[in-house]
This record gives sequence, structure tokens and C-alpha cells, in this order.
Amino acid sequence: MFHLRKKILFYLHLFFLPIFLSGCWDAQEIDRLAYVVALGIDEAEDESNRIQVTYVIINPNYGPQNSSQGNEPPREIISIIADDFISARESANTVIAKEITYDALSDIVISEQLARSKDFIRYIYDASKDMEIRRNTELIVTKEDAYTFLVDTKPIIESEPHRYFKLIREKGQQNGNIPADSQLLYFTRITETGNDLFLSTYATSKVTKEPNPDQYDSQFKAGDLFFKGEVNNTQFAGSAVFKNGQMIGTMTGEETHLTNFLNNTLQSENVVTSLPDPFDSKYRMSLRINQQDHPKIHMNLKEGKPSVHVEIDLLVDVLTNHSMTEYFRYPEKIHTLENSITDDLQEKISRFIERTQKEFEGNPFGWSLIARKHFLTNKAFEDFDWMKQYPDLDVEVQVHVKLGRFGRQSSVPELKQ
Amino acid sequence: MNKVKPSLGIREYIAIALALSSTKLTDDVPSLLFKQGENSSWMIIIGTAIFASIPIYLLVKMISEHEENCLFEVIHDACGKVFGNILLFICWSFLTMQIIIISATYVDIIGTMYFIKTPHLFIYATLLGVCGYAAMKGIQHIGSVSWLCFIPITIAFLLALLLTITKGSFTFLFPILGPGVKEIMTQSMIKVAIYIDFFFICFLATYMRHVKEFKKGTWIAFIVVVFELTIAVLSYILLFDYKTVQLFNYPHHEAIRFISAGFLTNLELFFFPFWAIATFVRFSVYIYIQSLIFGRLFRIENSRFIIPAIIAIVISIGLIPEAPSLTVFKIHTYALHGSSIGFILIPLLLWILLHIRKRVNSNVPSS
Amino acid sequence: MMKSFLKKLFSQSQDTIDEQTTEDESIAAKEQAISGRLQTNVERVETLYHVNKNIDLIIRHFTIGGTKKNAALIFYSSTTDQTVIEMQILRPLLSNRDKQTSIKNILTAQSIIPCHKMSDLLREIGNGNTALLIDGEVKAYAINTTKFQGRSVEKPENEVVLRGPNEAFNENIEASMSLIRKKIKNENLIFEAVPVSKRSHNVAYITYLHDLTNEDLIARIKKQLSELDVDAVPNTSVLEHYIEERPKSLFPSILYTERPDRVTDFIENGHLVLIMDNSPAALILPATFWSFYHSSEDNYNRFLNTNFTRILRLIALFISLFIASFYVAVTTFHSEMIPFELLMAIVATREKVPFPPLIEVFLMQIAFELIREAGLRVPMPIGSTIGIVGALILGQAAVEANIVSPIVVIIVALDGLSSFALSDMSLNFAIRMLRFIAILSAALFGFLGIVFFFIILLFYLVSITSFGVPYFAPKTPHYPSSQNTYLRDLFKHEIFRPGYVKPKDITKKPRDVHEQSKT
Repeated sequence: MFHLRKKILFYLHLFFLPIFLSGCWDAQEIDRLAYVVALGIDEAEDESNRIQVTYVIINPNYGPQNSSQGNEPPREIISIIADDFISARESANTVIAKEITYDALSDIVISEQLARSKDFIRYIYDASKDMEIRRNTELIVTKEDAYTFLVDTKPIIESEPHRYFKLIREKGQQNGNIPADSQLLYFTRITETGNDLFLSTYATSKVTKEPNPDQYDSQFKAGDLFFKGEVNNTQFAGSAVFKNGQMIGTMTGEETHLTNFLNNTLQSENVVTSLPDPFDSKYRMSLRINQQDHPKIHMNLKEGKPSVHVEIDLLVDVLTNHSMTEYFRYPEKIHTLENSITDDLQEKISRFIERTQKEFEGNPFGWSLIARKHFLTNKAFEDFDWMKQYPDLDVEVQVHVKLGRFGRQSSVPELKQ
Repeated sequence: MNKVKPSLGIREYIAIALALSSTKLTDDVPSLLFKQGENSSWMIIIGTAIFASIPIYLLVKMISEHEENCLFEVIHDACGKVFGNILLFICWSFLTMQIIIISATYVDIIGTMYFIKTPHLFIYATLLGVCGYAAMKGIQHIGSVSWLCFIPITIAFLLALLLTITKGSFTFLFPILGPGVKEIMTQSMIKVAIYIDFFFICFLATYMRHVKEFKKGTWIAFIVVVFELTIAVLSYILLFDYKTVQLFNYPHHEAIRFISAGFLTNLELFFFPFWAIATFVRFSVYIYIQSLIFGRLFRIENSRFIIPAIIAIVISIGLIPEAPSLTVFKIHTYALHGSSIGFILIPLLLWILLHIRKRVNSNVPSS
Repeated sequence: MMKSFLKKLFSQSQDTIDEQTTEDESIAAKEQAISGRLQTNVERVETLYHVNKNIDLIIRHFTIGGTKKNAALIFYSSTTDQTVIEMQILRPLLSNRDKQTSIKNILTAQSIIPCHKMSDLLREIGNGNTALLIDGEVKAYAINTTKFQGRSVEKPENEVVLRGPNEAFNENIEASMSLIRKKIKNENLIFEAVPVSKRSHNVAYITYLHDLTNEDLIARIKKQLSELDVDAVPNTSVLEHYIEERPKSLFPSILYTERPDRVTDFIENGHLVLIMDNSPAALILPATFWSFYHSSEDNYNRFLNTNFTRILRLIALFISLFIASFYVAVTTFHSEMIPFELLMAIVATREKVPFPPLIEVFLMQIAFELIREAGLRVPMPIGSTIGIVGALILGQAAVEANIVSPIVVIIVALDGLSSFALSDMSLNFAIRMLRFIAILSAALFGFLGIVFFFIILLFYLVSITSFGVPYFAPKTPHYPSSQNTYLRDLFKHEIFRPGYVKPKDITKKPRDVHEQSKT
């Protein structure tokens, strides 16, 4: 018996040895790879139904610990016209010495022009074929060409592009200026269900030439804000609205955080905005809004005209007091303030919902998921056709405002006129 | 060399049963369910469990009442020599088919999700080669290894599950009835073969130290498997929504590619080794049981020496399908439906036959 | 030419024949009974011991006082206690005035064994006793005067503990036995002598508790020991080679320890221990994976401290086995696994290194193993410094010369550090050698290769046994025991002896005591 075992082992060796010797098909040493951190997609200019793919390839030798190397730039950019961004890799390798990999890809940048085209969905679905592209890759829509955007994005301090994108995205999501769920997975998930609108981060590297007098805090999207200084001009603000995988419009930063208020899977914190002061219409007061709880959304889809009732609980901190109102001494003024804020916010939200019903004909708040609860089977819900019903919904919004802190010093001196 | 009959404790037995059944949640079985079950697939898991408990109950009852606690003997007692062997051969071909289909699936998973450029032949040969080595070591050692690895694998799996569920949203479960009650019921009926491994594992009953442990172990494992599969299928729906998950081949691997924990962003390779170990244990058990039935069928004294031949056959058949991701998936659907019939009917048939025999035997002396 | 060749051949055979005859003669001489003539006996002893060459064999002729009989003392001056010979043998014999009393009543020595055969006499002299031959008596007396030189009981050097006893076995069998007896004061403790070699007459002592240890195990070991057909087994380290089941396996099946407290702990659990003269360590068997994984301090540290160190040791085991292969796998196959900033840092340093990760890691590993081996062999004062010199200077220089990347130095250092946490040398060696296989399989197929390696290793480990005990018992297959495996329970909950050694009494304490402690 022992001999038989030895024999078997011997033949197994004969079988496996050549395989072992020839192995390592997937082996690729890390220093032989070119890491793409951001990918840009534009429509090709020659109208050949092709796309222009732009790669931002990171330079690992950049950084303080390798400063002895001299001043190498933090990144390399190459743009190439190809049928898709999977095969574009191979073509780009005629220029780039190392094998291009999407392992580190964190952002896909799409030009608004391409996003608005009907064919966009065909190109972006290639991403779910390639194993190296992850479903948590962020989608960014740019006002200009993705190529221009990527070339112009040259942060002075956070000069490594992947780090810059990550930090600015995190900050933007934190204060609600850009949508929280802008990842590839959510794009495919919402597109495949076809009941809601998908919001993608909106960005640009172009600055408006002069300030807009009617524009208040966060009532802008990328490209509307006027600023100057020795900085990189890239801005992340607002969102691009996608319906059925095609871009149909944009939303400002303010509208984006209102979306967060209305979405019951999200809970916004530390949103800073401004409203007119009820005691002196010359001035505006800055407020910090914290959402206390998920919005309570009640739907009536069965009888009569479908209607939705939304209740939002907000905790508002008043940050500024330019009208110098003495709230401390006159408690009734606090009441007035509370009512004014409630009315203003309620109106704002109602107007925004009206806009989504009229202009977008779809909701970006993920309300279809709540509507689904009112049906027993998928078929019943599909027959109801939420997307079609949404524009005709009766939406009633009720905002409950609770005033929080008034700052370090709540009293102000009385101003003599 | 002193020959001792290999023995399995209850821990090892449960670990083997779980390795066989709960690894299903990582391959294409969930996507088989999603095709028709949509967002109510988790109900199908529970529904099939209710249907599956009948044949499992009958099997456990028959085996524990039989004096040798051996499924082979039960089959022979019920059907006689010739028909018993025919039935055994049917079981054997079901198992062989299952091994071929599932191994092709796993090779496809490794080949498309992790080692893209490595040829399938090579993955196939090494996977089954290692499993064959393990199967040749005997069931006691397979049991020991699966019990040793059981806790780490379970922890890794639970971690993946936890991260998936926290990223997901429960609203995706609605509309609660999904494709409708009728569809759920029919699917529960024809997908019963999800639990067919509990039939094959009954061939190991004779190696248990006590028949009580076999009884207890089978039911514990069954309940845990139902629970695990339900939670897993639920978690995929919660993360992806049913429309998206229907498009996936291997939802588990898509899920672990998506989740992240703090600064660790790409977690799938942390879970990969645990998954691979579970896979190895699963195939070594399959190959062992297959060689066991084969040895019994053709009266081969030392059935472990036919394992290399079995492996060679499995590899050569498993590599036939073109475009494995598509073809194997289709074949797997049909195989699942086909083996559902066998899974329900064979234990029922055995039970009826045994009863008739008992009747006849007890009637003969009295008349 | 032919002639000379034949001559050579012939003369050679002549020599062997001569040797043969002398050997036969000496065997015959040994088997003779002791004769009544003192002269004959002494002559025989002189030829057997080659007295003219053997300088430390002393034959002292004298006449016993009182009886006026001629007598001779024969002993090795090197292995006997001279004062005992003088005070308890020579003086009483010479100053005796009584004509009738027997020798036993004259001598004041502790034990006197009569010998009737020459071979008995030789054995006793070899053991350090003094032989007394008296003219006219057909027997000799062996008087206990043993005093072998050796070191005293010292601190253990390889199994150091911070809490707990600090005695180690030494090369003196009496001391070793005494150390064990001191800890188990029970009449059932037995030291059973079994001769293990033919020429040097080495004896191994099977030590066990008579009412506890499994009979089959004792019989099996006895049989195995008595069947040994070797000239010399100088000590337990060599004995291990002869009795272990798989001499070619990387994994040990016998626990080698220099600590008597560890030995008694195992004896009290129903294990069996082999001790020998001339060996500063005992062999404990059967030994499972857990006995190598545990350290002698685990019983002395407090409950939580022990379990903390055990978890640490488990982590160390996996680190030292897998971290280098993990690095190779990640850098050649799975780069997406590393956090991106770290990946960039590694890439930046790797770019200047001309070798693939496999070679890089191998180079560093071998260098580290060299430092370790050299550190062990160099004389003590230099030994401690060579480690620092080797590790620091070599690592630093290798990085600066772009031979390896800095992360490899970290990995190899971590690797070495972790392997030191595994206290048992045999297991330590096994892990260190397996590591290279792991690295190789990682270089071939990344994580899949590591998993292949791990699965095969695991199947091998569960399939091996140590004297019939599965290697991972009692974890799997399950046995009733105190489940002292990965972790340790509170002592008051440890009520079972390990079931896998099949002790005659499985419970450590009577049931009712346990019940009481519960309530």
C-alpha cells in the first residue's frame, strides 16, 4: 500500500511540476504598473461615435520622502481616442511605459456633453465588465471637457490628485453641497430600477468672470461662484441629475442639501445656509441646520389622487444677527424668528419639489423605495408606474424648526440710529 | 498499520455539513434564486427549507432506526440488491453531475473574479488536485480540518455580512411579496435541491460515533444553513436591490468588492483565503462521498485509490463548456430543478418501500 | 601486485579473526563465576580492565583484621567517593578484631550487594561502586561509593520563566529523579529502568504514575525501547531520534523539556516521561500540537495573562509563517489590497530595487537565519552584539545599497521576532522551514498559492499522530479533557485529564469537590 501511495505521488508530481514551473500568469509586480487614479471620458471631437479617454496617472516618486529625486510632477495625463475605456488602456501603453491598471481608480470624470447624450449609458456600462473597476468608484460630471478639467486641476497644496479628489469630495458631502451617493453602484442601481433620479457630483475648473449679486450662500453650482486668489480653480458644488442613465439637468448646492433633507436614508448635519432676517429685510442671517431625525414620509397611493406628506424636524442654530435684534429680552421675538424660518424653509422646499416635478419629472429623494412599501408585489408596483405618477403627486411639506444655540454671546448692544 | 474505522464527532459533522451547504451563498445559487425570486428570494430559501425538511426527516428517521445506521444498508434493505444498486448509481450520477457543475462554477469564480489571466485548466487541476489529496486522507481528517477552520471562516463570513448589511437599506425588501405568492411557492418547490447536500451527507452517518449525534447534528446544521442562506440572500438584496443583483453572476464576490471598513478599502482579498479554504473542504467532502458510493457500487475495497481517476474525469468534463459563465449557469439551473425531483422522491420511495416490506414481513408469520 | 593485494586481504582477515577471538574470550571471561581464589579473581579483573593502560582503576590489596584473610578492593578512583572508601570500608576492615562476624557486620557502608558473576561485578564497578574480593569466598561484595562528577542543579536556560520554579534537570540521573520525586510525593510514581543500548549499557527510565498512565502506552514504549538494537544512546536527545514515529517530518512528536515542573505536570495528566543519565532534559510523550504551542509559564501566570500571551503566540505563529509570503503575494499579485498611500510608498522604494520581491525576501530571510545561527555559535561576549550588528547594520546597508526595499527589512524583522515567541525549538524550526515553502507558493500563485499550501499543511497536520494520539487532540477529534488548547480555562474548572492519553482515571478531582465549587 505504501508503494502505491508513493507511485501516485510520483505521477502527481510529474503532472504538476510543469505547471508549477510555468505558473504566475497573473503576477505583476507593483513597480511595473502605472496607476490610474482618475479617468476622464469625453465625446470624441470627430463625431465617430467614439470617446476620448483621459488618464491621470500618479507618480509614486512624488512626495517629500523622495525629494532627492528632483522635482518630478505629481501626475501624468494622457488622452486618447478609443472605442471604450477598457481597450483604451492597451492603446495608451504605446505612450506609457508601464502597464496601465485601474486598481487605484477612484473617480470617473464625465463631461456634461457626453452625460447628456443618449449613448452615455452604453459607455459607462463597460465599467461593470472590467474586474479592476470597482462599484464604489465616484462619478463626477464636469461642465467643460473632462480632459480640460483634469488638466486644469492642479492643486497647489494637496498636489497628489487622488488625495485632492478624496478630500474635497469628503468635505463637500459633509456640508451637503454635493450628493452623498454619487458612486457607480448607485448609478446602475437607480438606472436599472428606473424609479428615481440619480445625482452625480458636479464640478468644473472654470471660474465665473464676475460676482452675481442675487446669489446667496450655496445657491450656486460649480462654475457660478466668483472667487479669486492664488488657488486652483477647481470647484465641486451642486449635482448633475440623471434620469434613466441620461443627464437631464443640474441642481445647485442648496438644492442638493434640500434633497438630503427629504431623503429618508440620509440625515444631514451641519448644513450652513442663509435666510432673510425677519426683523430687517436688508440683512440675511446665517443658520446652521441639523436634521434631528429621518424625515417622516406618509404616502397615500391607494385612494383618490396620490399624495405625499413629509415632516422634517430641524434644529437650527442662528450664527449671525446683523439686524442686532435683542432676542434675550423679548421672548416673543424668538417666536417670530422661528415662524419666519419655518415659513422660509417650507417655501424653499416646496418650490424645489415643484421644480423636480415640473422640470425633471422625477424625484431625486429615493421616494420610490417608500412607495414600494405600499404594494404587495413587484408587478403591482410596476403597473402603478411611480416615475409617471410623480409629477402629479400632491406633495405637502411640513417643517418643524427648533431653535438651538445663538452663539457664544446671545445679547447684542442696542444700536442708536 | 492498524486499521481503525474513521469516526466523526458531532462538531466535525456539523462543520462538514455547513461547509457543504453554506458555501452555496458564495457561488451562483443566490443568482439562480434572484432570477425568479426577485426581492423575495429570501422567502424562497425558507420555503424550500420547509419542503426539504420532509425528505431530510425521512432520511434521518430511516437511518437512525436501521441497526447499522448506514444509508447503503437502508437502500439495499428497501430495494433489494439489484434495484438498490441502480438507485445507488442514480445517486452517484447526481453527485458526479453536481461536482462537475459546481467545480466548473468555482473555477469560473476564481478565473473571472481573482485570477483573470490564469488558464482555467490550471485552476481546475490545482483545485481538484489539492481536494483529491485531502479526500484521500479520509473523512476523519476532512472533518478535523473543517472543524479547525470552521470558526475563522464563520467569523470572516459574519464580518462580510455585517459590513454588507450596514451599507444596505431595508426598503429594498419591499414590495414584500416580490413576484407574488404563487411564484414564491413554485420556486420553493422546484429549488428544493439547494439542500440536496443533506442527502449526500447521510452517507457519512455510519461513521458517526453515536446515531444520536447524527440526528442532532443534521438538524442543527440544517437550521444554521437555512439561517445563513436567508441572511446572505437578504444582504445581497439590501445592498444592491433586486434589479441590479439579478444581473450579477456571483453576488457574494460583488458584495465583498464593494464593502469597506474604515481605512481598509479593498477587502475582498481578506475574505478570499477563508472562502477558498471552505471551497477546498467542500470539494474534498464531495469527492470522498463520491468515491465511497463508487467503491460500494463496484465492491472496491479501498475506494480512495480511485480518487485520482475521478478527478481526471471531473476535470475533463468540467472544461468542456464554452463561455463557462453563461453555459454553466444555465446547466446549473436545469440540474438544480432535476435534482429537486430526486431529492424529494428518493427518500419518499425508500420510506414507502421499507414500510411495505415491514408490513409484508410481519404479515407472513401471522398468516 | 596481485600478491601484495592478496597479502593485504589475507592479513586483514587475519586481524578480524584475531579481534573476534579476543572478543569471544572476553565475553567468556565475563560470564565466569567468581572463584574462591583471590589471586585468580584479581588476575581476571586485571586482564578485563587492561590495568596497565587504565590509570584510574585501582586495586588495593590488604588483609582483613581479625579473620586475617587476604582481600582486595577494586574501584575507579574517578567515580567513587574516596572518603567513603576510607571511612566506611578500609578502616572498619583493618581495625576489626572480631574473628567470627561476617563482612556485612564489619562494614559501615549503606548498601552492600553480593555478586556471584564476573559480569555483575564489572557492572557494579562501572556504576561507581567499590568491589570487595575476599580470599576463600565465591562471591564479591559491591559497596555503594558512587560519586560521579557533574554540575549541580541550575536554572533552565532555554525555557525561562518569570514566575514559577527555576530548577532544571542536569546530567545526573539521581538529581533528575530527585527533582521529580520532590514534586510528586506519591508511592505510585515509578521510575522503571529499561536498557536501551548494547555496548555502552545506557539505561532509560520510564517515569509514570502507576495508577494513572495507560498500560498499553507503557507496554508500547517498553517494547519499543527494548527492541532498540544500537551500540550507544548517550542521552535523551539521541533517544528521541530512535523512538519518534516520523524522523523525517518537520513536526516533532515528542516534547523535549529541561524543566522538571513541566515534566511532573504532564505525568500528573497521565503522560509518560523518559529520562536518562547524562541528559539535561526529559522526553514527554505523547505530545500534541498544543504541548508545543504552550509554554511552561502558562501554568504560573494568572488566568488572563496566560490567555493574553497565548493569543499573542498564536498571532506570532501566523505572522512568522505567513507575513513574508503575504508580502510577496501582495506585491506580485494583489496590489489593490494595500491602502493606496502605502502602496505608493512601497512602489517608490521598490522602483530602485533590481530584484523581484521573491528574491528580495529570500535574500533577507537567509541573511536573518545566518545571523541567528551565527549568534548562537559565537562565544558569549560577542554573541549578543552580533545580533545587533547583523540586524541593524546589514538591514540599513542593504536598503541604502538598493538591494532590498525598507519594507522587506521590517517584514523580516517582524518575522524573526515572532518566531522567537514560539518557545519550543522543534516547532520553531518547523515554522521557519515551512515559511520558505509558503513564500515560494505565494510567488507562484499569490493568495491562492498560500491557501493551497495552508490546506495541504493542515491536512498533513491533522493526519499525523504521536504514539497513537492525533496531533490536534483534544480539539479535533474531540476528547473529554480540560480543553486546554488555544486558551486555558480557570484551574478550578479543569476537572478532566486529557482523554486522548486514555488515563486510568479521567477526573482530576472527585466529583463532589467539583459540585461544591460550582455552588
